[in-house]
Amino acid sequence: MKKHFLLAAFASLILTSCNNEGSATNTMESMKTPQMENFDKAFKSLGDPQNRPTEEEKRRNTSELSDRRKALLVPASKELILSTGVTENELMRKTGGDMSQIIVWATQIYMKKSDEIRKNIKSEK
Amino acid sequence: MKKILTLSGIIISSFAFSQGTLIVNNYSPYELRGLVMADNANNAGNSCFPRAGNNITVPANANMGNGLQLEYTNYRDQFNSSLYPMATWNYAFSATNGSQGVSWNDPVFDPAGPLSTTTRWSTIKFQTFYPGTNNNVIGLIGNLSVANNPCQPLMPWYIDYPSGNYAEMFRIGDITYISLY
Repeated sequence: MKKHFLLAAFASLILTSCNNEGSATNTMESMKTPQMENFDKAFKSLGDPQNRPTEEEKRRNTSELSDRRKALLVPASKELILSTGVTENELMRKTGGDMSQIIVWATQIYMKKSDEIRKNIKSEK
Repeated sequence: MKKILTLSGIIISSFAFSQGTLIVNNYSPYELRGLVMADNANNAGNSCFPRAGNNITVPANANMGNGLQLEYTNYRDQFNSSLYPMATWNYAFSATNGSQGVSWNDPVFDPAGPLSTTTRWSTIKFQTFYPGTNNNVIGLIGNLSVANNPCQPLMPWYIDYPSGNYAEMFRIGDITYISLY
């Protein structure tokens, strides 16, 4: 079953890459997985007016992002980590549920994946 | 299993160095140019030495969304991993012991060395420009330092601009983020 999914994913990748040929070349945006997309959106959303620091958060005396704003990043971070094949149990065991560790781990995955995409785009050109 | 081991290895090794990673996300349509600095907040009584830094340029709309963010893992390795490699750094261990324009591969920038293990990214002094020009965006300028940084007690960690733009600098674990919207 898993194999079929992978095949389908591959086929759609090939199809999209063929579709894009001739028109615009592939971009980072078009090659991102949905989990990467959500992770990126979550980060970008920190700048949305309702997600900017509250009056109380503005007076914080720590360099660390507030828990309220970290919580905005956690669901997408978890999704991204789980998409690599890590199970929920492993995720909890490795991070202890600590929001920072979850976000940092997801960031490393994101950076690695976007690096790979960039290299693929380069080699296609 | 192997994957997990590798991953946790990466995480553990990145926690071992206090300098941490710097990520600059520029979501604005303007080019960001600034002096980025790392310092030693544990030595606030002595001018926060050691310190290091240099000038960076991040193109308009260069951020994690399109994979064009500026990312520095450490003073040395960034040269081969970053999209915006820094060829030289300025550093100082004291008022009388420092150097300007030192190549990234100088031993002083060893990630396990005293400069890397005592300093953390903390501050940026930046301006913005219309892309491809030297015309600065009036008003969209500022100094940012992470909150509660004794090395820069007067600098804000966020700036709300009347134009609707917004800039901030914060940390999550060992990653220091600078974001401009």
